[in-house]
Amino acid sequence: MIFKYQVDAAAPELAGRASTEFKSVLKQLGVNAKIIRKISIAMYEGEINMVIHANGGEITCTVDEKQIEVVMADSGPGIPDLDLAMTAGWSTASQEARELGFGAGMGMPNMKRFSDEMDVKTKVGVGTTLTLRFNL
Amino acid sequence: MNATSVTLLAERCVGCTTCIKRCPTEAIRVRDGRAHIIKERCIDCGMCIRVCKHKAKVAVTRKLDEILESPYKLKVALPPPSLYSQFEGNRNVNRILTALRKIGFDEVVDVAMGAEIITAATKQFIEENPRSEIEGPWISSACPAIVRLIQNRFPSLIDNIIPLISPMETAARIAREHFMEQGYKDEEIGIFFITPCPAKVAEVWNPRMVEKSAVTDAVSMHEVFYKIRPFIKNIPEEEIQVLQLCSAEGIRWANIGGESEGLGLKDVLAVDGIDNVIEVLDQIENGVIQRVEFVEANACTGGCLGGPLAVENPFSAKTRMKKVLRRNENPRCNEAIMGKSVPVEAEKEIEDLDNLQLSSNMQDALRIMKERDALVEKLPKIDCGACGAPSCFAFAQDVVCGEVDVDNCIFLLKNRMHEKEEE
Ligand SMILES: Nc1ncnc2c1ncn2[C@@H]1O[C@H](COP(=O)(O)OP(=O)(O)OP(=O)(O)O)[C@@H](O)[C@H]1O
Ligand code: SF4
Ligand code: SF4
Ligand SMILES: [Mg+2]
Repeated sequence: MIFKYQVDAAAPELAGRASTEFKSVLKQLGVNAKIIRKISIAMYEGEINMVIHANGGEITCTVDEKQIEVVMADSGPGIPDLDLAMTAGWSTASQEARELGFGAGMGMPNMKRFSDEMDVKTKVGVGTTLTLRFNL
Repeated sequence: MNATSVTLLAERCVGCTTCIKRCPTEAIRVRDGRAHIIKERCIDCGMCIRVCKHKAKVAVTRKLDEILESPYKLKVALPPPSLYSQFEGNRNVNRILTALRKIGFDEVVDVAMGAEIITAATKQFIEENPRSEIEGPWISSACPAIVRLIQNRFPSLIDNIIPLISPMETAARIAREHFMEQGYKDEEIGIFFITPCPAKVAEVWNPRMVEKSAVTDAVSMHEVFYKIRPFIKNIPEEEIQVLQLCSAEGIRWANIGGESEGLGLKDVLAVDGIDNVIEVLDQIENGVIQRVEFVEANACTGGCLGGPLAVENPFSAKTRMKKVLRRNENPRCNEAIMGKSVPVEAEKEIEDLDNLQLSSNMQDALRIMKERDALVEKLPKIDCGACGAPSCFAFAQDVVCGEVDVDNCIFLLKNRMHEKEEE
Protein backbone atom coordinates (compact mmCIF):
# COMPACT_ATOMS: atom_id res chain seq x y z
CA MET A 1 0.00 0.00 0.00
CA ILE A 2 1.20 3.51 -0.85
CA PHE A 3 0.95 6.61 1.33
CA LYS A 4 1.72 10.03 -0.08
CA TYR A 5 2.45 13.23 1.83
CA GLN A 6 3.04 16.75 0.53
CA VAL A 7 5.74 18.75 2.26
CA ASP A 8 5.14 22.48 2.04
CA ALA A 9 8.22 24.65 2.60
CA ALA A 10 6.03 27.76 2.77
CA ALA A 11 4.44 26.39 5.95
CA PRO A 12 7.43 25.38 8.09
CA GLU A 13 5.16 25.15 11.15
CA LEU A 14 3.74 21.99 9.56
CA ALA A 15 7.16 20.36 9.15
CA GLY A 16 7.10 16.99 10.86
CA ARG A 17 3.47 16.32 10.09
CA ALA A 18 4.17 13.71 7.42
CA SER A 19 6.41 11.79 9.82
CA THR A 20 3.80 11.91 12.56
CA GLU A 21 1.03 10.78 10.21
CA PHE A 22 3.04 7.93 8.77
CA LYS A 23 4.06 6.88 12.26
CA SER A 24 0.40 6.54 13.14
CA VAL A 25 -0.09 4.31 10.06
CA LEU A 26 2.83 2.12 11.12
CA LYS A 27 1.39 1.71 14.61
CA GLN A 28 -1.95 0.64 13.15
CA LEU A 29 -0.18 -1.89 10.98
CA GLY A 30 1.48 -3.35 14.05
CA VAL A 31 5.05 -2.66 12.93
CA ASN A 32 7.59 -3.36 15.68
CA ALA A 33 8.03 -0.38 17.99
CA LYS A 34 11.82 -0.23 17.57
CA ILE A 35 11.52 -0.15 13.78
CA ILE A 36 8.87 2.57 14.02
CA ARG A 37 11.28 4.61 16.06
CA LYS A 38 14.02 4.28 13.44
CA ILE A 39 11.66 5.19 10.60
CA SER A 40 10.23 8.19 12.47
CA ILE A 41 13.62 9.65 13.25
CA ALA A 42 15.04 9.12 9.75
CA MET A 43 11.92 10.32 7.96
CA TYR A 44 11.67 13.38 10.19
CA GLU A 45 15.26 14.35 9.35
CA GLY A 46 14.51 14.01 5.63
CA GLU A 47 11.28 15.95 5.92
CA ILE A 48 13.03 18.80 7.72
CA ASN A 49 15.81 18.87 5.11
CA MET A 50 13.16 19.25 2.40
CA VAL A 51 11.86 22.32 4.22
CA ILE A 52 15.16 23.86 5.32
CA HIS A 53 17.38 23.16 2.31
CA ALA A 54 14.93 22.67 -0.58
CA ASN A 55 11.49 24.07 -1.24
CA GLY A 56 9.36 21.19 -0.09
CA GLY A 57 8.25 18.26 -2.19
CA GLU A 58 6.56 14.91 -1.88
CA ILE A 59 7.12 11.88 0.32
CA THR A 60 5.94 8.50 -0.92
CA CYS A 61 5.90 5.60 1.53
CA THR A 62 5.39 2.07 0.29
CA VAL A 63 4.58 -0.69 2.75
CA ASP A 64 4.66 -4.39 2.13
CA GLU A 65 5.19 -7.33 4.41
CA LYS A 66 8.96 -7.43 4.12
CA GLN A 67 9.99 -3.83 3.73
CA ILE A 68 9.08 -0.18 4.09
CA GLU A 69 10.37 2.28 1.54
CA VAL A 70 10.33 6.04 2.07
CA VAL A 71 11.05 8.18 -0.99
CA MET A 72 11.53 11.89 -0.40
CA ALA A 73 11.67 13.94 -3.59
CA ASP A 74 12.24 17.66 -3.93
CA SER A 75 13.07 20.00 -6.78
CA GLY A 76 15.37 22.12 -4.66
CA PRO A 77 18.97 23.22 -5.30
CA GLY A 78 20.48 19.71 -5.18
CA ILE A 79 23.58 18.71 -3.24
CA PRO A 80 26.92 19.62 -4.92
CA ASP A 81 29.14 17.29 -2.87
CA LEU A 82 27.25 14.32 -1.52
CA ASP A 83 30.16 12.82 0.41
CA LEU A 84 30.54 16.07 2.26
CA ALA A 85 26.80 16.24 2.97
CA MET A 86 26.96 12.73 4.42
CA THR A 87 29.75 13.74 6.81
CA ALA A 88 28.70 14.14 10.44
CA GLY A 89 28.77 17.80 11.45
CA TRP A 90 28.81 19.26 7.96
CA SER A 91 26.07 21.78 7.29
CA THR A 92 25.18 24.70 5.09
CA ALA A 93 22.17 25.64 7.21
CA SER A 94 21.44 29.36 7.32
CA GLN A 95 21.78 31.41 10.46
CA GLU A 96 17.99 31.52 10.58
CA ALA A 97 17.74 27.73 10.51
CA ARG A 98 20.42 27.43 13.19
CA GLU A 99 18.46 29.70 15.45
CA LEU A 100 15.58 27.24 15.14
CA GLY A 101 17.88 24.48 16.36
CA PHE A 102 18.74 22.90 13.02
CA GLY A 103 22.13 22.75 11.39
CA ALA A 104 24.10 20.30 13.53
CA GLY A 105 24.90 18.43 10.33
CA MET A 106 23.61 15.16 11.79
CA GLY A 107 20.51 14.62 9.63
CA MET A 108 22.09 12.73 6.74
CA PRO A 109 24.38 10.58 8.93
CA ASN A 110 21.41 9.69 11.13
CA MET A 111 19.29 8.70 8.13
CA LYS A 112 22.09 6.42 7.00
CA ARG A 113 22.45 4.97 10.49
CA PHE A 114 18.78 4.25 11.06
CA SER A 115 17.83 2.90 7.64
CA ASP A 116 18.88 -0.48 6.26
CA GLU A 117 19.52 1.05 2.86
CA MET A 118 19.92 4.64 1.77
CA ASP A 119 20.14 5.89 -1.77
CA VAL A 120 20.50 9.55 -2.80
CA LYS A 121 20.03 10.86 -6.32
CA THR A 122 20.81 14.53 -6.58
CA LYS A 123 21.60 17.02 -9.30
CA VAL A 124 22.52 20.64 -8.78
CA GLY A 125 19.72 22.89 -9.97
CA VAL A 126 17.33 19.97 -10.45
CA GLY A 127 16.64 18.46 -7.06
CA THR A 128 17.22 15.62 -4.68
CA THR A 129 15.51 12.26 -4.31
CA LEU A 130 16.36 10.34 -1.20
CA THR A 131 15.25 6.75 -0.76
CA LEU A 132 15.33 5.00 2.61
CA ARG A 133 14.52 1.31 3.02
CA PHE A 134 13.76 -0.45 6.26
CA ASN A 135 13.53 -4.23 6.59
CA LEU A 136 10.67 -5.59 8.67
CA MET B 1 -11.09 -6.66 40.28
CA ASN B 2 -11.74 -3.81 37.84
CA ALA B 3 -8.86 -3.00 35.57
CA THR B 4 -9.74 0.69 35.44
CA SER B 5 -11.07 2.96 38.15
CA VAL B 6 -13.02 5.32 35.90
CA THR B 7 -16.60 4.08 35.56
CA LEU B 8 -19.87 5.30 34.14
CA LEU B 9 -22.94 5.92 36.29
CA ALA B 10 -25.38 4.95 33.57
CA GLU B 11 -28.42 6.56 35.22
CA ARG B 12 -26.75 9.98 35.11
CA CYS B 13 -25.49 9.75 31.53
CA VAL B 14 -27.58 11.57 28.93
CA GLY B 15 -25.46 10.45 25.98
CA CYS B 16 -24.17 13.89 25.08
CA THR B 17 -20.87 13.77 23.26
CA THR B 18 -18.67 15.88 25.50
CA CYS B 19 -16.51 13.14 26.97
CA ILE B 20 -16.03 11.13 23.78
CA LYS B 21 -14.39 14.11 22.15
CA ARG B 22 -12.15 14.98 25.06
CA CYS B 23 -10.81 11.51 25.84
CA PRO B 24 -7.15 11.57 24.77
CA THR B 25 -7.13 7.91 23.79
CA GLU B 26 -10.57 7.92 22.12
CA ALA B 27 -11.69 5.28 24.59
CA ILE B 28 -15.35 6.31 24.82
CA ARG B 29 -18.28 5.70 22.46
CA VAL B 30 -21.93 6.52 22.89
CA ARG B 31 -24.08 3.47 22.19
CA ASP B 32 -27.84 3.29 22.80
CA GLY B 33 -27.76 6.76 24.28
CA ARG B 34 -25.12 6.03 26.94
CA ALA B 35 -21.37 6.41 27.10
CA HIS B 36 -19.33 3.20 27.05
CA ILE B 37 -15.69 3.05 28.06
CA ILE B 38 -13.48 0.74 26.03
CA LYS B 39 -11.52 -0.54 29.02
CA GLU B 40 -8.45 -1.65 27.09
CA ARG B 41 -7.89 1.88 25.86
CA CYS B 42 -8.71 3.82 29.03
CA ILE B 43 -5.65 5.18 30.82
CA ASP B 44 -7.59 6.46 33.87
CA CYS B 45 -6.49 10.03 33.27
CA GLY B 46 -9.83 11.31 34.55
CA MET B 47 -10.38 13.80 31.74
CA CYS B 48 -13.96 12.55 31.33
CA ILE B 49 -14.62 13.02 35.06
CA ARG B 50 -13.59 16.64 34.70
CA VAL B 51 -15.60 17.44 31.59
CA CYS B 52 -18.90 15.63 32.25
CA LYS B 53 -21.49 18.21 33.28
CA HIS B 54 -23.84 15.50 34.51
CA LYS B 55 -21.28 13.95 36.83
CA ALA B 56 -21.84 10.61 35.12
CA LYS B 57 -18.17 9.61 35.20
CA VAL B 58 -16.70 8.67 38.55
CA ALA B 59 -13.56 7.09 39.94
CA VAL B 60 -14.22 3.93 41.89
CA THR B 61 -12.31 4.05 45.18
CA ARG B 62 -12.62 2.33 48.55
CA LYS B 63 -15.07 4.20 50.79
CA LEU B 64 -13.56 5.82 53.85
CA ASP B 65 -16.14 4.38 56.29
CA GLU B 66 -15.50 0.93 54.93
CA ILE B 67 -11.78 1.38 55.55
CA LEU B 68 -12.23 2.69 59.06
CA GLU B 69 -14.55 -0.22 59.91
CA SER B 70 -12.38 -2.83 58.22
CA PRO B 71 -10.89 -5.63 60.35
CA TYR B 72 -7.25 -4.59 59.79
CA LYS B 73 -5.58 -4.31 63.17
CA LEU B 74 -3.47 -1.41 61.96
CA LYS B 75 -4.98 1.04 59.52
CA VAL B 76 -2.34 3.21 57.92
CA ALA B 77 -3.13 6.34 55.90
CA LEU B 78 -0.74 7.16 53.06
CA PRO B 79 -1.18 10.86 52.21
CA PRO B 80 0.56 12.24 49.09
CA PRO B 81 2.04 15.75 49.19
CA SER B 82 -0.74 17.04 46.90
CA LEU B 83 -3.06 16.79 49.93
CA TYR B 84 -1.02 19.46 51.69
CA SER B 85 -2.04 22.06 49.12
CA GLN B 86 -5.76 21.63 49.70
CA PHE B 87 -6.47 23.47 52.93
CA GLU B 88 -7.06 27.19 52.94
CA GLY B 89 -4.89 28.98 55.45
CA ASN B 90 -2.97 25.91 56.62
CA ARG B 91 0.71 25.44 55.98
CA ASN B 92 1.35 23.00 58.77
CA VAL B 93 1.69 19.49 57.39
CA ASN B 94 1.70 17.90 60.86
CA ARG B 95 -1.73 19.42 61.46
CA ILE B 96 -3.13 17.61 58.43
CA LEU B 97 -1.46 14.35 59.41
CA THR B 98 -2.77 14.64 62.97
CA ALA B 99 -6.28 15.16 61.59
CA LEU B 100 -5.95 11.86 59.71
CA ARG B 101 -5.37 10.10 63.00
CA LYS B 102 -8.28 11.93 64.59
CA ILE B 103 -10.72 10.51 62.05
CA GLY B 104 -9.62 6.97 62.85
CA PHE B 105 -6.39 6.01 61.09
CA ASP B 106 -3.98 4.35 63.53
CA GLU B 107 -0.87 5.50 61.73
CA VAL B 108 0.13 7.93 59.01
CA VAL B 109 3.04 7.53 56.60
CA ASP B 110 3.94 10.61 54.56
CA VAL B 111 4.41 9.75 50.85
CA ALA B 112 6.71 12.78 50.43
CA MET B 113 9.38 10.62 52.09
CA GLY B 114 8.99 8.09 49.27
CA ALA B 115 9.34 10.95 46.80
CA GLU B 116 12.61 12.03 48.37
CA ILE B 117 13.94 8.48 48.16
CA ILE B 118 12.92 8.16 44.50
CA THR B 119 14.60 11.47 43.70
CA ALA B 120 17.90 10.10 45.00
CA ALA B 121 17.40 6.78 43.20
CA THR B 122 16.54 8.55 39.92
CA LYS B 123 19.63 10.71 40.18
CA GLN B 124 21.83 7.68 40.63
CA PHE B 125 20.06 5.72 37.92
CA ILE B 126 20.50 8.46 35.32
CA GLU B 127 24.15 8.88 36.24
CA GLU B 128 24.77 5.17 35.79
CA ASN B 129 22.67 4.84 32.63
CA PRO B 130 23.33 7.78 30.33
CA ARG B 131 21.25 7.87 27.15
CA SER B 132 22.63 8.55 23.72
CA GLU B 133 20.98 11.53 22.03
CA ILE B 134 19.18 9.29 19.65
CA GLU B 135 17.71 6.96 22.28
CA GLY B 136 16.01 10.02 23.70
CA PRO B 137 15.58 11.10 27.30
CA TRP B 138 14.58 9.09 30.34
CA ILE B 139 10.91 9.53 31.20
CA SER B 140 9.59 9.51 34.77
CA SER B 141 7.38 6.58 35.77
CA ALA B 142 5.62 8.52 38.54
CA CYS B 143 2.34 9.35 36.78
CA PRO B 144 0.58 6.06 36.01
CA ALA B 145 -1.72 7.72 33.47
CA ILE B 146 1.36 8.64 31.44
CA VAL B 147 2.88 5.17 31.75
CA ARG B 148 -0.38 3.79 30.40
CA LEU B 149 -0.52 6.39 27.66
CA ILE B 150 2.92 5.24 26.56
CA GLN B 151 1.84 1.58 26.68
CA ASN B 152 -1.17 2.42 24.53
CA ARG B 153 -0.01 5.03 22.10
CA PHE B 154 3.78 5.31 22.26
CA PRO B 155 5.07 1.77 22.74
CA SER B 156 8.40 2.67 21.15
CA LEU B 157 9.08 4.80 24.25
CA ILE B 158 8.52 2.03 26.80
CA ASP B 159 12.28 1.57 27.09
CA ASN B 160 12.65 5.24 28.00
CA ILE B 161 10.58 4.88 31.17
CA ILE B 162 12.78 4.85 34.27
CA PRO B 163 12.46 1.39 35.85
CA LEU B 164 11.91 2.65 39.38
CA ILE B 165 8.79 2.27 41.52
CA SER B 166 6.64 5.22 42.58
CA PRO B 167 6.87 7.31 45.77
CA MET B 168 3.53 5.80 46.82
CA GLU B 169 4.84 2.26 46.50
CA THR B 170 8.10 3.17 48.23
CA ALA B 171 6.30 4.72 51.19
CA ALA B 172 3.96 1.72 51.44
CA ARG B 173 6.89 -0.70 51.47
CA ILE B 174 8.60 1.26 54.21
CA ALA B 175 5.36 1.41 56.20
CA ARG B 176 4.87 -2.34 55.95
CA GLU B 177 8.41 -3.07 56.95
CA HIS B 178 8.34 -0.65 59.85
CA PHE B 179 5.09 -1.91 61.34
CA MET B 180 6.07 -5.54 60.86
CA GLU B 181 9.22 -4.79 62.85
CA GLN B 182 6.90 -3.48 65.52
CA GLY B 183 5.24 -6.89 65.71
CA TYR B 184 2.26 -6.66 63.35
CA LYS B 185 1.70 -9.43 60.86
CA ASP B 186 1.63 -8.54 57.17
CA GLU B 187 -2.05 -9.38 56.86
CA GLU B 188 -2.94 -7.29 59.91
CA ILE B 189 -1.71 -4.11 58.24
CA GLY B 190 -4.04 -2.21 55.91
CA ILE B 191 -2.35 0.61 53.97
CA PHE B 192 -4.64 3.12 52.27
CA PHE B 193 -3.44 5.69 49.76
CA ILE B 194 -5.31 9.00 49.71
CA THR B 195 -5.55 9.39 45.98
CA PRO B 196 -5.76 12.54 43.88
CA CYS B 197 -6.67 10.52 40.78
CA PRO B 198 -8.15 7.32 39.33
CA ALA B 199 -4.81 6.46 37.72
CA LYS B 200 -3.24 5.76 41.11
CA VAL B 201 -6.20 3.59 42.10
CA ALA B 202 -5.73 1.47 39.00
CA GLU B 203 -2.03 1.31 39.81
CA VAL B 204 -2.81 -0.17 43.21
CA TRP B 205 -5.21 -2.73 41.76
CA ASN B 206 -3.13 -3.53 38.73
CA PRO B 207 0.48 -2.46 39.18
CA ARG B 208 2.57 -2.11 36.02
CA MET B 209 5.99 -2.21 37.62
CA VAL B 210 5.67 -4.46 40.67
CA GLU B 211 4.10 -7.90 41.10
CA LYS B 212 1.80 -6.87 43.93
CA SER B 213 1.35 -3.44 45.45
CA ALA B 214 2.21 -2.93 49.11
CA VAL B 215 -0.79 -0.59 49.20
CA THR B 216 -4.03 -2.29 50.26
CA ASP B 217 -6.43 0.06 48.50
CA ALA B 218 -7.02 3.73 47.68
CA VAL B 219 -9.51 6.23 49.07
CA SER B 220 -10.55 9.42 47.31
CA MET B 221 -8.81 12.65 48.34
CA HIS B 222 -12.11 14.39 47.86
CA GLU B 223 -13.81 12.20 50.44
CA VAL B 224 -10.96 12.47 52.94
CA PHE B 225 -10.81 16.25 52.50
CA TYR B 226 -14.36 16.84 53.70
CA LYS B 227 -13.94 14.44 56.58
CA ILE B 228 -10.76 16.00 57.96
CA ARG B 229 -11.42 19.65 57.23
CA PRO B 230 -13.36 20.34 60.46
CA PHE B 231 -10.60 18.71 62.51
CA ILE B 232 -7.88 20.72 60.81
CA LYS B 233 -9.51 23.90 61.93
CA ASN B 234 -10.16 22.77 65.47
CA ILE B 235 -7.11 20.83 66.64
CA PRO B 236 -5.44 22.87 69.40
CA GLU B 237 -1.77 23.57 68.79
CA GLU B 238 -0.60 21.36 71.68
CA GLU B 239 -2.36 18.31 70.26
CA ILE B 240 -0.53 18.42 66.94
CA GLN B 241 1.71 15.38 66.65
CA VAL B 242 5.03 15.15 64.86
CA LEU B 243 4.19 12.78 62.01
CA GLN B 244 5.83 14.40 59.05
CA LEU B 245 8.60 12.40 57.36
CA CYS B 246 10.08 14.79 54.87
CA SER B 247 10.91 18.38 54.05
CA ALA B 248 10.04 20.52 51.03
CA GLU B 249 12.39 18.33 48.98
CA GLY B 250 9.75 15.60 48.71
CA ILE B 251 6.64 17.77 49.12
CA ARG B 252 7.62 19.62 45.95
CA TRP B 253 6.64 16.59 43.87
CA ALA B 254 2.98 17.67 44.09
CA ASN B 255 3.83 20.46 41.65
CA ILE B 256 4.81 19.94 38.06
CA GLY B 257 8.56 20.56 37.93
CA GLY B 258 9.07 19.57 41.56
CA GLU B 259 10.23 16.09 40.71
CA SER B 260 12.93 17.21 38.30
CA GLU B 261 14.05 20.13 40.44
CA GLY B 262 15.69 17.86 42.98
CA LEU B 263 17.68 15.92 40.39
CA GLY B 264 20.27 18.62 39.83
CA LEU B 265 20.47 17.83 36.11
CA LYS B 266 21.27 20.41 33.46
CA ASP B 267 18.63 19.55 30.92
CA VAL B 268 15.23 18.52 32.17
CA LEU B 269 11.82 18.98 30.63
CA ALA B 270 8.68 19.14 32.76
CA VAL B 271 5.35 18.93 30.96
CA ASP B 272 1.82 18.91 32.39
CA GLY B 273 -1.62 18.44 30.89
CA ILE B 274 -2.34 15.30 28.88
CA ASP B 275 -2.49 17.01 25.47
CA ASN B 276 0.84 18.72 26.03
CA VAL B 277 2.35 15.42 27.12
CA ILE B 278 1.11 13.76 23.92
CA GLU B 279 2.80 16.46 21.86
CA VAL B 280 6.09 16.03 23.70
CA LEU B 281 6.02 12.22 23.41
CA ASP B 282 5.37 12.53 19.69
CA GLN B 283 8.43 14.76 19.38
CA ILE B 284 10.58 12.38 21.38
CA GLU B 285 9.53 9.60 19.02
CA ASN B 286 10.59 11.71 16.05
CA GLY B 287 13.97 12.28 17.68
CA VAL B 288 13.35 16.02 17.98
CA ILE B 289 13.89 16.24 21.72
CA GLN B 290 17.41 14.95 22.11
CA ARG B 291 19.48 17.07 24.40
CA VAL B 292 17.16 16.58 27.35
CA GLU B 293 18.22 14.06 30.00
CA PHE B 294 14.97 13.64 31.89
CA VAL B 295 11.30 14.22 31.15
CA GLU B 296 8.83 14.69 33.97
CA ALA B 297 5.34 14.28 32.57
CA ASN B 298 2.11 14.72 34.52
CA ALA B 299 -1.31 14.03 33.06
CA CYS B 300 -2.85 16.77 35.18
CA THR B 301 -2.44 20.51 34.75
CA GLY B 302 -0.20 21.76 37.53
CA GLY B 303 0.83 18.23 38.53
CA CYS B 304 -0.80 15.95 41.11
CA LEU B 305 -2.19 18.90 43.05
CA GLY B 306 -4.45 19.34 40.02
CA GLY B 307 -5.62 15.71 40.12
CA PRO B 308 -9.27 14.99 39.23
CA LEU B 309 -10.05 13.95 42.80
CA ALA B 310 -8.42 16.98 44.41
CA VAL B 311 -10.85 19.57 45.75
CA GLU B 312 -9.05 22.83 45.15
CA ASN B 313 -8.49 24.19 41.64
CA PRO B 314 -4.87 23.66 40.57
CA PHE B 315 -4.03 27.35 40.44
CA SER B 316 -5.06 28.13 44.01
CA ALA B 317 -3.46 24.88 45.12
CA LYS B 318 -0.23 25.95 43.48
CA THR B 319 -0.20 29.31 45.23
CA ARG B 320 -0.82 27.64 48.55
CA MET B 321 1.82 25.01 47.82
CA LYS B 322 4.44 27.74 47.56
CA LYS B 323 3.66 28.77 51.12
CA VAL B 324 3.68 25.18 52.33
CA LEU B 325 7.10 24.68 50.75
CA ARG B 326 8.51 27.82 52.34
CA ARG B 327 7.26 26.78 55.75
CA ASN B 328 8.66 23.25 55.41
CA GLU B 329 12.28 23.74 54.62
CA ASN B 330 13.24 22.31 57.98
CA PRO B 331 10.15 20.81 59.57
CA ARG B 332 9.96 18.65 62.68
CA CYS B 333 9.85 15.04 61.55
CA ASN B 334 9.12 11.66 63.07
CA GLU B 335 12.55 10.06 62.88
CA ALA B 336 11.43 6.61 64.01
CA ILE B 337 10.21 5.75 60.50
CA MET B 338 12.83 7.66 58.53
CA GLY B 339 16.09 6.33 57.12
CA LYS B 340 14.82 2.88 56.07
CA SER B 341 15.80 1.54 52.74
CA VAL B 342 13.63 -0.73 50.60
CA PRO B 343 14.19 -2.00 47.04
CA VAL B 344 12.93 0.55 44.52
CA GLU B 345 13.80 -1.16 41.22
CA ALA B 346 10.91 -2.15 38.97
CA GLU B 347 10.10 -5.85 39.26
CA LYS B 348 8.71 -6.42 35.81
CA GLU B 349 8.86 -5.00 32.31
CA ILE B 350 6.16 -2.68 31.14
CA GLU B 351 3.99 -4.38 28.54
CA ASP B 352 3.40 -3.11 25.03
CA LEU B 353 -0.40 -3.08 24.75
CA ASP B 354 -0.52 -2.80 20.95
CA ASN B 355 -3.84 -1.03 21.11
CA LEU B 356 -3.47 0.87 17.89
CA GLN B 357 -2.84 -2.21 15.79
CA LEU B 358 -5.76 -2.93 13.45
CA SER B 359 -5.05 -6.63 13.06
CA SER B 360 -2.31 -9.04 14.00
CA ASN B 361 -1.94 -9.78 10.31
CA MET B 362 -0.45 -6.95 8.28
CA GLN B 363 -2.33 -7.77 5.05
CA ASP B 364 -5.51 -7.66 7.04
CA ALA B 365 -4.52 -4.38 8.68
CA LEU B 366 -3.78 -2.87 5.27
CA ARG B 367 -7.18 -4.00 3.97
CA ILE B 368 -8.95 -2.48 6.97
CA MET B 369 -7.03 0.73 6.46
CA LYS B 370 -7.98 0.90 2.78
CA GLU B 371 -11.65 0.27 3.50
CA ARG B 372 -11.61 2.77 6.34
CA ASP B 373 -9.99 5.50 4.26
CA ALA B 374 -12.48 4.87 1.46
CA LEU B 375 -15.37 5.22 3.92
CA VAL B 376 -13.89 8.39 5.44
CA GLU B 377 -14.03 9.93 1.98
CA LYS B 378 -17.81 9.45 1.94
CA LEU B 379 -18.27 11.05 5.37
CA PRO B 380 -18.71 14.80 5.87
CA LYS B 381 -15.61 15.01 8.15
CA ILE B 382 -17.32 17.45 10.50
CA ASP B 383 -16.92 15.16 13.53
CA CYS B 384 -20.46 15.88 14.72
CA GLY B 385 -20.47 12.96 17.15
CA ALA B 386 -24.07 11.95 16.47
CA CYS B 387 -22.88 8.45 15.56
CA GLY B 388 -21.33 8.11 19.03
CA ALA B 389 -17.72 8.16 17.85
CA PRO B 390 -15.29 11.02 18.53
CA SER B 391 -14.61 11.69 14.84
CA CYS B 392 -15.70 10.63 11.36
CA PHE B 393 -12.35 8.87 11.12
CA ALA B 394 -12.92 6.89 14.32
CA PHE B 395 -16.45 6.05 13.18
CA ALA B 396 -15.18 4.72 9.85
CA GLN B 397 -12.71 2.53 11.67
CA ASP B 398 -15.40 1.22 14.03
CA VAL B 399 -17.60 0.36 11.02
CA VAL B 400 -14.84 -1.45 9.16
CA CYS B 401 -13.86 -3.36 12.31
CA GLY B 402 -17.49 -4.49 12.64
CA GLU B 403 -18.15 -2.64 15.90
CA VAL B 404 -21.05 -0.57 14.63
CA ASP B 405 -23.44 -0.29 11.68
CA VAL B 406 -22.74 2.30 9.00
CA ASP B 407 -26.36 3.54 9.30
CA ASN B 408 -25.41 5.22 12.56
CA CYS B 409 -24.11 8.14 10.52
CA ILE B 410 -27.08 10.46 10.12
CA PHE B 411 -25.41 12.17 7.20
CA LEU B 412 -25.10 8.94 5.18
CA LEU B 413 -28.61 7.94 6.21
CA LYS B 414 -30.03 11.20 4.96
CA ASN B 415 -28.24 10.79 1.64
CA ARG B 416 -29.60 7.30 1.30
CA MET B 417 -33.13 8.48 1.99
CA HIS B 418 -32.80 11.15 -0.67
CA GLU B 419 -31.65 8.56 -3.16
CA LYS B 420 -34.67 6.40 -2.33
CA GLU B 421 -37.05 9.33 -2.73
CA GLU B 422 -35.62 10.09 -6.12
CA GLU B 423 -36.16 6.50 -7.22
N1 LIG C 1 17.09 18.03 0.29
C1 LIG C 1 18.24 18.71 0.25
N2 LIG C 1 18.44 19.64 -0.71
C2 LIG C 1 19.58 20.35 -0.75
N3 LIG C 1 20.59 20.22 0.13
C3 LIG C 1 20.45 19.31 1.12
C4 LIG C 1 19.27 18.52 1.23
N4 LIG C 1 19.42 17.70 2.30
C5 LIG C 1 20.63 17.96 2.83
N5 LIG C 1 21.27 18.94 2.12
C6 LIG C 1 22.63 19.46 2.36
O1 LIG C 1 23.35 18.55 3.14
C7 LIG C 1 23.81 19.16 4.33
C8 LIG C 1 23.81 18.16 5.47
O2 LIG C 1 22.49 17.77 5.80
P1 LIG C 1 22.16 17.24 7.24
O3 LIG C 1 20.72 16.93 7.33
O4 LIG C 1 23.12 16.15 7.56
O5 LIG C 1 22.52 18.47 8.16
P2 LIG C 1 21.71 19.80 8.41
O6 LIG C 1 20.35 19.68 7.85
O7 LIG C 1 22.54 20.91 7.88
O8 LIG C 1 21.67 19.89 9.97
P3 LIG C 1 20.71 18.98 10.95
O9 LIG C 1 20.04 17.97 10.07
O10 LIG C 1 21.62 18.34 11.93
O11 LIG C 1 19.76 19.94 11.53
C9 LIG C 1 22.90 20.32 4.56
O12 LIG C 1 23.46 21.35 5.33
C10 LIG C 1 22.62 20.77 3.12
O13 LIG C 1 23.69 21.54 2.61
S1 SF4 D 1 -10.31 8.28 32.02
FE1 SF4 D 1 -9.26 9.30 30.33
S2 SF4 D 1 -8.71 7.62 28.97
FE2 SF4 D 1 -10.26 6.80 30.34
S3 SF4 D 1 -12.19 7.08 29.24
FE3 SF4 D 1 -11.91 8.88 30.57
S4 SF4 D 1 -10.91 10.39 29.29
FE4 SF4 D 1 -10.66 8.40 28.26
S1 SF4 E 1 -0.47 13.86 37.39
FE1 SF4 E 1 -0.64 12.96 39.43
S2 SF4 E 1 -2.79 13.19 39.95
FE2 SF4 E 1 -2.66 13.44 37.73
S3 SF4 E 1 -3.00 11.38 36.89
FE3 SF4 E 1 -0.79 11.63 37.13
S4 SF4 E 1 -0.34 10.75 39.14
FE4 SF4 E 1 -2.54 11.15 39.08
MG1 LIG F 1 19.07 18.09 8.33
